[in-house]
Amino acid sequence: MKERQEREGISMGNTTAEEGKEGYVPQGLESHNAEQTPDCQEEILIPKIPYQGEDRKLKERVSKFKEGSLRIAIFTVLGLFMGYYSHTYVTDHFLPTKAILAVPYKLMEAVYVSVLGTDAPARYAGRTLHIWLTEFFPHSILATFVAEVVTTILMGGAIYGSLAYFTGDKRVFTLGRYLKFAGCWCALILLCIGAAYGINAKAVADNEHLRGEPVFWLRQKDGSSLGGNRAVQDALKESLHRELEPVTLQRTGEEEIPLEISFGEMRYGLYWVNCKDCYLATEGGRTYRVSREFARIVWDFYEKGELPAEADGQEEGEMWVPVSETDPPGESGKTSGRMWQGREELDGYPVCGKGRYVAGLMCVSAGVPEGDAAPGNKRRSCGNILQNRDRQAKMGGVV
Amino acid sequence: MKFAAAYEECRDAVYGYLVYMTRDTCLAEDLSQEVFLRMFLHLDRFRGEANVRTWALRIARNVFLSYAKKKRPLLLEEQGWEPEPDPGSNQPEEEALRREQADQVRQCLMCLGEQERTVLLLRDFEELSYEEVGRIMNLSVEVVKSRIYRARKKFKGIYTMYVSENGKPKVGKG
Repeated sequence: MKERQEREGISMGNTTAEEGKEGYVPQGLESHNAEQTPDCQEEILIPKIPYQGEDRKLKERVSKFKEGSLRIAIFTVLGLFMGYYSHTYVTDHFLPTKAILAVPYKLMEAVYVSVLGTDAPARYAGRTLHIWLTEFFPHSILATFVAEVVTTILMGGAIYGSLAYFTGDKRVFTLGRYLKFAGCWCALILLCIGAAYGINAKAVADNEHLRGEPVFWLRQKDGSSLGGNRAVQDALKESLHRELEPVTLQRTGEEEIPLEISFGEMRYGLYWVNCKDCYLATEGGRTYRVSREFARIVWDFYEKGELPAEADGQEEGEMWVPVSETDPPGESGKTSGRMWQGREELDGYPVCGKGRYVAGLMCVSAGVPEGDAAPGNKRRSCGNILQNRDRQAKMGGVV
Repeated sequence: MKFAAAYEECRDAVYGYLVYMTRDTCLAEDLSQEVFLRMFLHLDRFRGEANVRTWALRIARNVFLSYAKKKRPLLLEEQGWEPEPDPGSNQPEEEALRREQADQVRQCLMCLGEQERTVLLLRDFEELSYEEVGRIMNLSVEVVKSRIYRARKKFKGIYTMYVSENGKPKVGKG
């Protein structure tokens, strides 16, 4: 039995455990040394068959591989650029190029929105800090950047690189090799998607704990919102942190005013302030006790559109023109007297962040008529004009 | 090691091995292209522990086995005697004689199984050592020796049968 198994093992090409051992001599050969037997010494004279054709023929696949690899590299780089500009398909009116350009972006959108899901529905506040870059992850600009830009770039590279793969020599660029190529791109894209969700999760967690330097966006009943000047921001920040502490309480959801806070211009969070019970609630349901002063500022602006007089440096009775939803501050010049995140201030008078001459167009109740500035004042900021006006008034000049 | 140098060293060995294994020069050329492509792609993995020809022949054997298993399993088995068609009498005598010898050997080899064919080609055609043959076929030296013994015995039997029909002794001594 053992003999037969070993013979069969040898003839079938299988080796038993014993055969693999050093010094093992198969049965049937025990009685002679294979090296010395005349039969075993006789070699078969097999004629050489040198290759008669051209070397180019035998190396054909190698040259095809080199050419194909270069083509794939070029297509992949082009694909990365196509991915970067993919979002511009909306402005392309020629259908074929529109379709080609849109592929990476729409694929990315399908993955994030349809397949995986994002926080985008949470944008029920209606207003975000930046219109672009918060479409997928409104809480984190960085996460949306990774999703909307980086992922799209990678998808563009993968798609157009794959196109180049399929147009290569099938004997060289086989399905097996393509699967490895595609696998690498998939791994990279999955990593990117994971990074986007990870960054967003971190941002949401930080928002829950109110970490970072906050900038507040107060809301009014009509839905408009305001950042307020630096003094307002400082007042809100100081009053928020004065008595801020986590509390556990039963929220009713009534009498809660939405408040938007951005942290470092990279994170954005939506909160609700109950000014009567003085608490602030996060999107995740955490609640914090806030000071009465903080609640009062939020309430005053929500109900009356008023900011604390001491906080904004305005004279009493002045009313700031509220920012409209479609009129971002500083963009049109019409509202450029408003404070853009408390950026500039000149002796308590707000100045337009871009230094535009807009006297009379923003501070309505300040009484500065249109065209007030003398020719020499045309290029001065609105704050300067107000300052000059006050100086003239003190010197007895005409207002 | 550069690819160009490896190619020059292994070209005839790879091509010759594949011609004898497939009995088809076009197929052998095609498979040789694949062998050299794999050598080009994996040259950085070649650590120089063995001869580059040994490495190339190992790749060639794997390429042949992959092809035969998928496309022509008959190539792995012992085949019946199929005489080659006469190429014609307008060739130089020396060339014609060499060709005839090669054809006879090829026909005899095709009557062997793949393992026996391979072991004979690697030992007697490529003149590799037992260790190198064992490395290519993943066998120990003793097993290699026993297989060579059996393969030569079988080959001689077939060749003798063929020679006895034509009266032309061809087997030599090593």
